[in-house]
Amino acid sequence: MNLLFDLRMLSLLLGLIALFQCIPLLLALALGEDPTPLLQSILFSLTATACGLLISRRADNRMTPRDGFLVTSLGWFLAAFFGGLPYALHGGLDLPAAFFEAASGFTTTGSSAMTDIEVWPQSILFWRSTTHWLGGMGMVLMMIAILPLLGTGGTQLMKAEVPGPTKDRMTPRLISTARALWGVYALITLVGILGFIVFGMTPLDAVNHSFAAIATGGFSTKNLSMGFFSPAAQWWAILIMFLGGTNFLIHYRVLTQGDWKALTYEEFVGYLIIIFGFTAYCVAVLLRTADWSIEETIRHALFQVISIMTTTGFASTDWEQWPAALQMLLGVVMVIGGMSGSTGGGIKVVRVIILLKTIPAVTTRLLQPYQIAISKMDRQPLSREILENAVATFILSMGYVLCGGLLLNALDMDLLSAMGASLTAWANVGPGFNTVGAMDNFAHVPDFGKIILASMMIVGRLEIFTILMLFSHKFWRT
Amino acid sequence: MNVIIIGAGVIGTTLAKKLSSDGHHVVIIAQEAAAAKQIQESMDVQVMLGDAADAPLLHSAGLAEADLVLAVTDSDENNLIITLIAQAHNPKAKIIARVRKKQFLDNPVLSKGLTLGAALVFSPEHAAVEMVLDLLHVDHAFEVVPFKHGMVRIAGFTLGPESPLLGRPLQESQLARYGALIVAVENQDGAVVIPNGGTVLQASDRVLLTSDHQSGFAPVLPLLGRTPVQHRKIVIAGGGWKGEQVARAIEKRGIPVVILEKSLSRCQELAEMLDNTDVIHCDATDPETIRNLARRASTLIGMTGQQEVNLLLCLLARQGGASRTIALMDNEAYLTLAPTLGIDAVVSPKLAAVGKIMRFLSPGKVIDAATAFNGHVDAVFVEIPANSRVVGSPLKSIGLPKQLLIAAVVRNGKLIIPKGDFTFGAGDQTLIITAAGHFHKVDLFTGAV
Repeated sequence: MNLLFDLRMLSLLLGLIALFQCIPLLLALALGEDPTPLLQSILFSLTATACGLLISRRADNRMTPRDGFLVTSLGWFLAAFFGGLPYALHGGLDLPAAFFEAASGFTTTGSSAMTDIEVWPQSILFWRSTTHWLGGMGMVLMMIAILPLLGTGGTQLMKAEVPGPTKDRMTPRLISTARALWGVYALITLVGILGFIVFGMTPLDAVNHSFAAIATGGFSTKNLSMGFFSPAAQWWAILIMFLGGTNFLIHYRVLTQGDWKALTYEEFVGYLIIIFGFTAYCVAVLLRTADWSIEETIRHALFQVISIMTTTGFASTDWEQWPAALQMLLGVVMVIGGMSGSTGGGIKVVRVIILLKTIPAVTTRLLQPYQIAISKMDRQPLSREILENAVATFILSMGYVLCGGLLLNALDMDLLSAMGASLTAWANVGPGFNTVGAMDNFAHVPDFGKIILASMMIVGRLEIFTILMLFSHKFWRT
Repeated sequence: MNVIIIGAGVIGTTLAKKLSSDGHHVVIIAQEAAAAKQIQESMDVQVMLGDAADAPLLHSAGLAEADLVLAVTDSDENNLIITLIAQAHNPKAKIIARVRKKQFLDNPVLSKGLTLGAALVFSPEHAAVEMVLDLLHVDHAFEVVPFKHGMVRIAGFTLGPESPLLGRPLQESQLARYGALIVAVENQDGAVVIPNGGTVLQASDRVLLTSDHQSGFAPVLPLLGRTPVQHRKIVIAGGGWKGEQVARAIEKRGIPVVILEKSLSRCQELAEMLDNTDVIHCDATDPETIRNLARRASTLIGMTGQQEVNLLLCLLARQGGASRTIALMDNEAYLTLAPTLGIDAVVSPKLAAVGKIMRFLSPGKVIDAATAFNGHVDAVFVEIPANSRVVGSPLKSIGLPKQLLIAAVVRNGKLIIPKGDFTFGAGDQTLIITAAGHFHKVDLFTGAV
């Protein structure tokens, strides 16, 4: 491992965070809000950056896979700490809560420890949305895009941060892949902002909500979340969340290469089937139980399913008032999550499809012991490695969520809330069940519980193995 | 530049690494999953897995936007088919195909532009033969890179323990008296520096030289701790196509040649074809034979089809007293091992081919470019334009950037090793040496200011 180089990367990451805190700082100055929390936070981060760069000035840029995992894991924890400073310095949140809020932001979870969002300064709320936007596509990926210094090493970093079992490259060079991803991401964000303005939001709200929707984050600037805004804005949010939960490889293929065949990828088809299947079921049930018009029913059902499935966590209505079966269904959708290569969390649609595909292989073998049954996806045989990755990730993640839930339960949360909080943190959704439900917040969770949940968010965002690796003794043996 | 490389063998991967680190967009098509994975882990290139001559695969690799297609699989037929596919779908792309079989290389329909058009066909065997012949121009060198058809050469030598250059700064050396200039130094740890007057050499350092002396590098050999070669006889072990080509060329230079060949019928063929070459029918691996021959030979070249045999022959010849041994081999492990065993020079047909391709790809404003010291040193041959900043000022006042050195200048067909008071004129063809990664500094000479 090349620890000096790792230090340089981490320092640059903090520099990046300081840079992006300058935008809310300017906003604070423009709106006449108190700029001190942001200013102090920027100075903190810059000092850390300067020290790190000074110590690591002689580092060479050779990287091993280990460095990639170490930088990415530590980077996300550091980002959550330094990104939380403005909340703590403002005084509205204590340090564990600030760490929780920033981790929730960067991992695009959207769980909040703030009890009344609307009393917070606009500039700090804007920083909160910005953490979503940065974390959605990945800060490390942004560093790859900006800094041409990585060369081969970038592959190691990308491997650690981009979700999904396979890491396709869109272009031969990593730096152009990273730039293409961020370019497409920024473009959709811009379209999202314009749409929200057209549908009646103030420009600042539009930026905040577009950041949160494309990153599948879920922080709103209103206590009522998207329920505050017009139906048209909610429809627009549905579209942007849907795009955020889609694999960005597909966006890239369609937008830059006009390759519409990308829409026939099995994972995308599966994504559509799950969304519309579950929505149809919700609509059928809600038509009988709720007294909404047809448009309202469809809108609320679709909004909730997409918001939860893409792991955004916006709410257009309090779905905890829905029948229990539908809530359980939303819990299942939470586990599935978005597509691989998207900004969404969860187990990823592709892994669910892979897991399902093992079933016919097993049944065929029972009927015809000598038949060679191979599972395929998009007409490519699924390699043993990919199957192993899917199975191991699924089992490990479920076990992790269960343990997290039991731990929170031991901290005096009731079992349903504890399990809901654990699941929602790992899947990067935002709302959980019962006391941490759609219209509640996480302020009442004990400090230690907040730290556990914040860590779970990061583990979920980086997909469990990136972090798990750090706990293997083989990792540290050189 | 968008590059597609088909074939992930030694040639393909070496080219991919080089081109990618030069900043090109490289897609490489591998035929085996293991090779694909290895490349994916170690290089910033896109790897695709599949059959080499599969047109849809070539398309998804970006054939339509490719500027350069390198067909370097180990099958001639595949490479030729890839060339045809690439030409049909992207006539603008530059195509280079590796072809080994003589029948294909010499086929006038294929290679004289009728079928393959502008595509360039190269063979590792040709490249290896050329490289051996270059080496034979300079005694004791382990590497020789010619420019302008051999008018300018840079040659690499390992310093002998008795060299008077050791332990003293270069500026005090007698090199200049023999028209020689050290342009790069590689120490035992493999670190490469472009030297200045204060550089001090150590024993076993490897140095890269240019010389404008009329008898080439021979006068400077004692300074490098090397005795000039006494005998002028060259022994070639292995009478295959490559051995035959080398023998033919040496014959023309008027140097006595001996070929050792195992097969009697091949010996007869060779004896009929070659006029002034002694063809000896024997098993070259017989220690007695090789030692006897080595005693009276200046140079032994191991050119049989088996690289292990070549290695062995060179060791035996060394024991027998040959003053210089050259071995042909491709295995990477042997290549790094050979110099430590006392073999003077190794020629890898595959790496020679890579070097040759890289020379085809020299950037536009450059006449020729090559690498030396395993790619640690770039040698660039450029013509100084009239509007260049360096025209008219003496060399010592130009303020050369670090890691850059002027190795030689050709003016009006005359080779000059420039000294401090040398003044550049427009149209001077200049050989510039830089450490790898400092290539861009050459713009100082070509760029208009």
